[in-house]
Amino acid sequence: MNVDNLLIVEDISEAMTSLIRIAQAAFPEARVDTARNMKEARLQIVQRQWSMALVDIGLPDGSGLDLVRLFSELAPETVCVVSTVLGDDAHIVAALSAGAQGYILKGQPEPVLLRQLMQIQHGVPPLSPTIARRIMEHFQRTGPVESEGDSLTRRELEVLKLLAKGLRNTDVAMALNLAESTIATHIKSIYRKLGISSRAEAALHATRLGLT
Amino acid sequence: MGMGQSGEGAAMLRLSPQARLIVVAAVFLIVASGAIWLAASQAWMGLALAPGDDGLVVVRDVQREDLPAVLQPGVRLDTLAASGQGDPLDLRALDVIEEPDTLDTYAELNAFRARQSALDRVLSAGQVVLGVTLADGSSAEVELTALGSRPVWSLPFEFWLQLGVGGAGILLGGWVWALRHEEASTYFAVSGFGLMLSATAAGIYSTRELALEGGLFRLLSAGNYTGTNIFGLALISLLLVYPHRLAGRRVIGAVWVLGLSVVLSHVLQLAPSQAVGAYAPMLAQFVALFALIVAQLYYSRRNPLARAALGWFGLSVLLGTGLFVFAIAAPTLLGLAPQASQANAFAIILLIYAGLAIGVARYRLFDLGTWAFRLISYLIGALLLLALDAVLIYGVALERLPAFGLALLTVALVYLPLRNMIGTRILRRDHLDEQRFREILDIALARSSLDQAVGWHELLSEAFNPLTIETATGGSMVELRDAGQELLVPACGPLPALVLRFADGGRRLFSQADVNRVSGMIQLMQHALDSRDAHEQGARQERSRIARDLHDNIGAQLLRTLHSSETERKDAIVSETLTDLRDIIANAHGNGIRLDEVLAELRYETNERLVQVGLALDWSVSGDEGRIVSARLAHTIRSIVREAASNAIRHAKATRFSVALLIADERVSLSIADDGVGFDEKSTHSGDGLGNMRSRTLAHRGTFAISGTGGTRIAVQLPLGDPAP
Repeated sequence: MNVDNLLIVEDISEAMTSLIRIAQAAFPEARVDTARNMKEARLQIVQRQWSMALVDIGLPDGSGLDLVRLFSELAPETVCVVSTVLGDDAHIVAALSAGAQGYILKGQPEPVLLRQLMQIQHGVPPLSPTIARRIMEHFQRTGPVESEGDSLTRRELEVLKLLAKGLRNTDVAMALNLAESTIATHIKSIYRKLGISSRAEAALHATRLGLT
Repeated sequence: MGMGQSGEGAAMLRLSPQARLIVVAAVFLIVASGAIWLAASQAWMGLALAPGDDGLVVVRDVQREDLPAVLQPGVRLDTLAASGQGDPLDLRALDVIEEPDTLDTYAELNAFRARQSALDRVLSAGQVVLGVTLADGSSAEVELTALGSRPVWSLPFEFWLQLGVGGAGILLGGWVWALRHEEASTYFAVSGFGLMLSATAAGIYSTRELALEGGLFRLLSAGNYTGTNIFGLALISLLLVYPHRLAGRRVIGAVWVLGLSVVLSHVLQLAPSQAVGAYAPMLAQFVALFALIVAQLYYSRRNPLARAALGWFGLSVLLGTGLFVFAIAAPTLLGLAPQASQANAFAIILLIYAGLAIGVARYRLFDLGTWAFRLISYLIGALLLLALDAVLIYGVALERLPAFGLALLTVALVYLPLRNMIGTRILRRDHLDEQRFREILDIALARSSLDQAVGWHELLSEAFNPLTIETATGGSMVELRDAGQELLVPACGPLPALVLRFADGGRRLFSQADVNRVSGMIQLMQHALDSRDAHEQGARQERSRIARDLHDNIGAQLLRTLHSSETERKDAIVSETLTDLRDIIANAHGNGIRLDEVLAELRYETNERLVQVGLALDWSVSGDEGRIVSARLAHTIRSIVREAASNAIRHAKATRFSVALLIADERVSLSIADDGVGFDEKSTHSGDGLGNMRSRTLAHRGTFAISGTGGTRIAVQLPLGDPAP
């Protein structure tokens, strides 16, 4: 995937500067635009088609999760990445459920962030052990979903388990005797199913509360 | 007051209420069957007779089909003679009067009894000749056979009514006595016994066909008279002690001695006249009852509940006995004809018992609980079953087995549903519904203890509608006080103990059901308060843990950053600090962190860093890695691995970095090594990082060793138990 243009949604100036620097280093060819709040971001989403977006979860006028949802509705081809400093695991899992294709923790050293962004570009979204564990818990909690194709396969579960133990994608690939690209495919599939199962869960919740 | 001395006399007769009621019911059944047997074993012509206006005996109904056709209702009987022998006896209206007590003099009474004996002798002989006057005025002689016994069905309604009144009397009395074995209820039971004696005896003689043997008649009359007086004396005794004690046992004893002497004198015909002997004591008792009720009302003027209960009871006693006295006794004393049939008058007496039932249901008269209803309802069910069975066998002439089945079915299909319907009415009980549940939770979670107290006050007020609610002292249990006038609600957490007075605005007393209900509310409240406390304590502990973690980790690291001169190092520490902060937030619940989760995150993070500079990571963990460890220990392990990794990245010129952990024997053994250049152990200036590692380890009472030959090797032992902070 080529990153032609990239939108950074971030309200803290210093963080913005750092993110712009990282983005430019990762994608030297790409045009980088910024938005400081939900309002500006919404405008940008409608005005242009974006290859990639870095969305801060905590924005002054709302939650970045809503922007992620907007992207998956209006521009599903945009690679949406949430960025957070302290965003807790639940928020990250929520963002992945809402359609984000990766996440970065802004507190990490710039070289780490740079590499993670490039990994996302190459379709290998990184997954920290904690998030992997959260995703497993999520699937355990929601239980079996309606259609067989929407629950995790045995292989996907194996990948998640190894990621939860702290192995990198490469290590997982080695451990399972698979190509690293296959691992990336599995992870993407996990993200997709996370979105489906979250929607199913939300629907179930709504039914329980008598909202539908 | 007689209330509240529960069970004082219970030791006299150690029987359960059910057993006592069964004993009473058995007494009644024996007496009732005796009465039926006695009434049925009399000679019988098959005629229902009544006194005529003209002083003769009139045939009201013909109950046999084999009698000569001239015997029709309306025919007058003039004479009775044994067939073929002796002079015929003239029949008079007086012979068939219900109650000879209404006669004026003992001479008249004795003459009456003598005639009864004579008539009975004739009837007992079997073949009799009746001289009759037909409707058209012509006379005739009819010969018929008087049977040796009378079928039970021929006994008139009045017989069964009086038997029923007697039964109701003793069973209701026995019911109260079964539940409350004390003085007042004993008197009440005695009055019920008197009523039974009186009504049953009267039932037999007042519904005779024509005659009873004189001796038997005299015995039954004495039974009726004694029973009536026992009834009156017992009610007088009752009102002497209930609700307010007006007299001691000596006075009551004297009343009985006096009353029973009067009875004896009348039976022995020593009274001034028959009418006076029969009805003067009754009138005197009525006056005494009236006076006692007035006195009781006066004494209970400060006790609205006793007064209300007494009102019902007193009203019904006066009404019942009053009607009897004025319809039967007073006219006789004045030489007039009685105003009502004696049998109907007995029904009037049942008014007393209706009053009692209302008193029990509404005011817990005699302090009976509502569960008394259950006891009596089962008894009624059983009696109904027996009665139906008997009716079906003797009345409808069914076989024994189908009759019992049918009776059982009827009771099951008709009586039991009815009983349950009435039961749910009477024993209506409020459940702790959802609304109450919510109110209790709201009170428990209210901000200030004042709000809680006000809410609790309102809730109790709504639930029981008492006249007053006051704070009380002492008491750890919900209890009834003053026989149900007050309900003590003990203190519960910050809520003060309260005394509720006069339930439902004074219309009823507090009962065991209220105790159970308020106990349930208190239990729920206590649980809610405990939960709230536990929650708050948990939150407090959590806050202090977070504060400690922030101080130990974040504070220390920010301090290091502040005093560090290298920008790169500052960045690294800040970055680590943010990770730690995330960790503190993510683990803001529970009392520790799973070690494997910490290690997974550390492995991932370390790998990410090493990969940047082309270092390979060997990572191995063995032992009990699922242990829960303190955030402090997790942080120490993390700091040491990070510091070692930083050193390897910056100084070691290594290609591999290895971390090995063994969790066993209540400690973590951490070995870190790289294949770099190592360092000169002699000239080492241990550096900030190394010093931090060592001091952190020591703070955990662990051991720390480092060597620099052939790469850097660090060996750390950390006890798993959390050292005192």
